[in-house]
Amino acid sequence: MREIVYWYDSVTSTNDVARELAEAGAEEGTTVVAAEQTAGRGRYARRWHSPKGEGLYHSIILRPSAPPSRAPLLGLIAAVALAETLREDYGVVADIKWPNDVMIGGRKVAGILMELETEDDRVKYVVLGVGVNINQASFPEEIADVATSLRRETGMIYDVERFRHRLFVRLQRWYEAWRAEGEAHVLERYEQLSSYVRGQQVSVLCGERRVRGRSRGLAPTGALLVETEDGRQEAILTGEVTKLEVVS
Amino acid sequence: MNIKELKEIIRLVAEKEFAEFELEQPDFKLRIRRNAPPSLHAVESSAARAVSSSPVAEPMPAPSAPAAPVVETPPPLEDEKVYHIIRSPIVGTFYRAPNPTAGPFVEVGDHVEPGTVLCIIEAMKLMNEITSDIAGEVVKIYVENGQPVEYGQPLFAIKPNTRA
Repeated sequence: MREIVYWYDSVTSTNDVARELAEAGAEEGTTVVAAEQTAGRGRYARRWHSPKGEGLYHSIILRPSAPPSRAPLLGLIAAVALAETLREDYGVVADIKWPNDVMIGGRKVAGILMELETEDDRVKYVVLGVGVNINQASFPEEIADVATSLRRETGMIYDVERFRHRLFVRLQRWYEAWRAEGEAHVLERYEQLSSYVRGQQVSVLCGERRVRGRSRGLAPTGALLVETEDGRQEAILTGEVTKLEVVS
Repeated sequence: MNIKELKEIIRLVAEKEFAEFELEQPDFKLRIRRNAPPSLHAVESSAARAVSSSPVAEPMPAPSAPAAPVVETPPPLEDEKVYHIIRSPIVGTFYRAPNPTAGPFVEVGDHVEPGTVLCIIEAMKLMNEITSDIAGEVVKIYVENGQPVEYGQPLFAIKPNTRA
């Protein structure tokens, strides 16, 4: 995977631009970076707050030769790369909230949204959208309690482009390792970096259904395994995880 | 690969009750898929269970299947003869609208073209927009909004346009 970067001043969403490039045949590793997104989005059309120059807003085109069922793992790979970058290059204690929110002190510092395009039951491409809060000094009231930035955690201002490149290098390493050797190693690393996925009392909201139990690691698909109170094991593919505090 | 080896693979896959099996070699590709996710009752009573209950338990942590109260969707064999069936390419959650406040992408009775977005399947924040690959009319929607779907599960039946 080569690092090919397109910089934009302002776009609706970097995922939209990356999809157009992917449709036009752009090779994997092609990256769309924008100083600002006017319609940055998260899961299910939630807005991603994207003020100019303060965060990293970017999307990377990937073309793994894998069946579509393997594609969700790319989000876990990206979360591992993000958490490692924050820990090892910036010295902050980053955690991964399953599946791929990156947290510092219980607040979200980075989020991922991927879009998959298939063709004849194969992955045609995946657009990996990653937003990282870097230099925001404050957040709008509605997300002030749940969001944080690298600046808020360390009191320093950072070069956004340098962060992007460091993240790309780590992502590239894990992505190539996954393609060469499969998912075992990256899932093991994920478990080391996440306080949520093993031995934690969790509550998972899956649509309108709530699953409570103890997390039991990850399935090879990346699904979160939860052992419920009646002893069943569920493999969860979509859901909002919260930790349950033990009240003594 | 010869016929004998192929038979051996099919036998193994059946015995181990894999939901899906894929093998790829430079010159050939094999994919075996079971029709429906085995329901709990079916598994308990099946003879195949006895065969696979050897000490070498397969370390397959319930592949993909969210043990949700999945609405059993029988394979629409009759529909398949008449309509074009759109199936899910991944295991995930089925969404009929782009966000909770928007209307559905399509309704029964709508006319669609190749490329018309029908729904989104989500798995671990991976969104897969499912588009129609033919022109026609949506005649059935098999899954409720927000429900889990299995690999290959029928989502929509499309009545193809008839050529005049």
